[in-house]
Amino acid sequence: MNIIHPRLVLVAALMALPALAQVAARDILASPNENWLTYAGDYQGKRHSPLKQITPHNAGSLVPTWTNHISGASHLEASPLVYDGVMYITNTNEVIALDTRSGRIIWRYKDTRSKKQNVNRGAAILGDRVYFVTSDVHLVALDRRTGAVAWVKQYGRVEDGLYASAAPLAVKDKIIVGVSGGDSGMRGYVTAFSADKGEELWRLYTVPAKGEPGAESWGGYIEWGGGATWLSGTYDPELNLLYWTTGNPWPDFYGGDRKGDNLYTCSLLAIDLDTGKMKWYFQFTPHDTHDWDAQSWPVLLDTEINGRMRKVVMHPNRNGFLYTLDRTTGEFLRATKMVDKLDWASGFDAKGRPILVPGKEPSPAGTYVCPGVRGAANWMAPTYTPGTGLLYVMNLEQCDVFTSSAQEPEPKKNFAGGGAGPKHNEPGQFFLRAYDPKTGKRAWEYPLTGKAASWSGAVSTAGGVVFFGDDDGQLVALDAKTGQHLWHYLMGENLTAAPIVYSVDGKQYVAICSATAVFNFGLFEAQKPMALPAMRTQP
Amino acid sequence: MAGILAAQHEVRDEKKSKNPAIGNPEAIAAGQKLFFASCAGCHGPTGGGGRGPNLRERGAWHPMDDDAMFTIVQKGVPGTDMPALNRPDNEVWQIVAFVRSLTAPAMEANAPGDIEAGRRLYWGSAGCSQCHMIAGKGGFPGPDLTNIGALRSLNEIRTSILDPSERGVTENQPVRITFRNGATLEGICVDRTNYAMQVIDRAGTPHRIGMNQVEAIVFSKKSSMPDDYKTRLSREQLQNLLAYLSRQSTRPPAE
Repeated sequence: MNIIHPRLVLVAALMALPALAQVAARDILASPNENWLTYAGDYQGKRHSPLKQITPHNAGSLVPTWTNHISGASHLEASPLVYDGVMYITNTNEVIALDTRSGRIIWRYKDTRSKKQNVNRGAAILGDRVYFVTSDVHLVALDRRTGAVAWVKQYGRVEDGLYASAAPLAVKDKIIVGVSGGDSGMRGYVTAFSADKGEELWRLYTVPAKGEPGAESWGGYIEWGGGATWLSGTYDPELNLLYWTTGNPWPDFYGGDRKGDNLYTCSLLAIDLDTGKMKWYFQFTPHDTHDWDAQSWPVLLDTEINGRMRKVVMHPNRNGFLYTLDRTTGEFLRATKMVDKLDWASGFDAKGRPILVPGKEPSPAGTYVCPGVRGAANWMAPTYTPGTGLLYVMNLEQCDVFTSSAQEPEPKKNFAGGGAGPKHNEPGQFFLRAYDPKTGKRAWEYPLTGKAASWSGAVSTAGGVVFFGDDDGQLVALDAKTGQHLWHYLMGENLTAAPIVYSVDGKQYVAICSATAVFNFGLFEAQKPMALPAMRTQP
Repeated sequence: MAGILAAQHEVRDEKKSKNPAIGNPEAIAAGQKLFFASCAGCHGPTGGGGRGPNLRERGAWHPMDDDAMFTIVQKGVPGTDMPALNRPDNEVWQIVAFVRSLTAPAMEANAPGDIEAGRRLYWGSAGCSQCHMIAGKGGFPGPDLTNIGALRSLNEIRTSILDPSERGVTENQPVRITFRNGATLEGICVDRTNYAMQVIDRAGTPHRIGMNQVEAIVFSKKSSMPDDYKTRLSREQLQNLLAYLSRQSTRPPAE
């Protein structure tokens, strides 16, 4: 049966539809533009779109252009990808391709045999493939056009306390993935696969094996030490280094069985892309007992520090400080307080090791510590706007009471060695805060009014607008320079994902996942009446 | 949801028995003999139905778990024509294993045949790979078959090959579109409203079409799958092809 018509080529040209275009590695280097090709939009973690149609002057006329409730979804955390007018989002063990013009579904792939059901934070795209991880730690490569399966590779076992949730990172010819599960005992790692065949190329463990360098920073339980890699990382093409963060040591709240710094947990690792070797590490919170995973985006930017241009990595850390490190060497340059409520450290030594305030360890009776267990920052995406020179971070002002227990740790049983939570009358409050990377100081802040239960992040545009999800279920637009409110829209659900910006048919849009739906926003444009086409079915 | 991979959405969640007969090729073969003797009179020799319900079409009977099926075969359904079998338990389990194999994922059926010959046929003279993909290789616009052994029963795969339009094509309909500018496009319609349509052409390219560009649409009820495999394939070739296809799975059968 011949279903190719000679005039198809003409159609393709007229409709500006590409024939078998592929996402090249250099396209991701050029992202974001009309496309949004990697979790943070770019490798630097800036989440900054060069699109300029939406500005502080017209943002007030943004309207939803479509909404698609994703059947079966209850907790979407994906940052969408957009390539060539097709949007890719993920749900638990599932990828969905949507037509950005209509919001309708083109294809949907679900792995019904996964042994776990956890949240998923997004996909990666390279060549003709879309990559994502199943909850039970399989990397899946799908044909981006149809969702057909190219290969499925298992890279970890549920039986070892692992699961997977982070978006893979596609760099050059590799797909980089991490693992989750650090709150119940596991051993974290970052793994690289070849993008074409799915061959495992290297694996870097975030906790040393017994006898390896760094193992002396542990007592018992090193084999279940944690250091999960549950958020994807950023990448510097010139240095050829990946920047990946690691989670808490286990058990989370009791450190008596793991005396020492517990390398390389709560750290930022600089990893050679080709070899998987650690070039340097920086541990933000040595011997963490507050579950302050280092999972937040390492944002790579070049800025003046003390009168000198530096290649830095900025890291808004869960422990309450905004860190600035030299990203070539890992040298500690500065740490400044992000939150007003911070009482566990009084400062830093020259190498960036925090000077501890005594009496802030979790205790059987409970110890009041600021920030709380969710941290001053977390995996909610920050954004950096070169135009304003500001870094925008979602901050949580909250203190918790931390308890601990010297009970014998039991891996894989949800044992955390204690717990943490706010005092009854002390709920947290979120702020979107703008920081000047030159000084690390706050430029302005925008307070939120909800119950501090969201996990949404931010995106910024060259048009001068910052978009973020608030904890009242609203997408909000602010003037990037001043923090002035421009627009908001209530989606009516808890938000646990970050917005993105893209364009199709020459028009700029903002998209975000709510708990159960994908929302797409554009500048208001009156619809024209549409004549229905003649339609018939032949037998 | 009318996606090209609609086949992948079905979840089979009936509780499986731990009885060793289930999925055991020898038990299934023994169960088939017992089925011929005691059940085929009403349910048809291959479970296709007659006086009793069709056991191969899952929609035609209430899906039940293995233990419930055991009880019904052994004790019958009082007040209906379904009699009690009253045979030794192991024989009843063999019958249950056979009936289950009619609808179980093909990968569990241990389908007989020459897998290697089936593979050659698939990628060669039968032409399957021109329109279907397995593990990222092959063509469009047929559904991906990488996981077909886990998603479809052996019987469903057989029917799709021999009589692709049997049930009428309601998903992935072949479509021919005439645009207002005179251009045309043919492909598979994966989704349609009055205002937008998504079509995947034979090159695998998704087309996102606004209906304001469209003059006319002609759908076909006939599957774009060739309908002559009934005569093109010998009995042995079909068996080999099924042996190959039934083993296509993204995960090992043990999982």
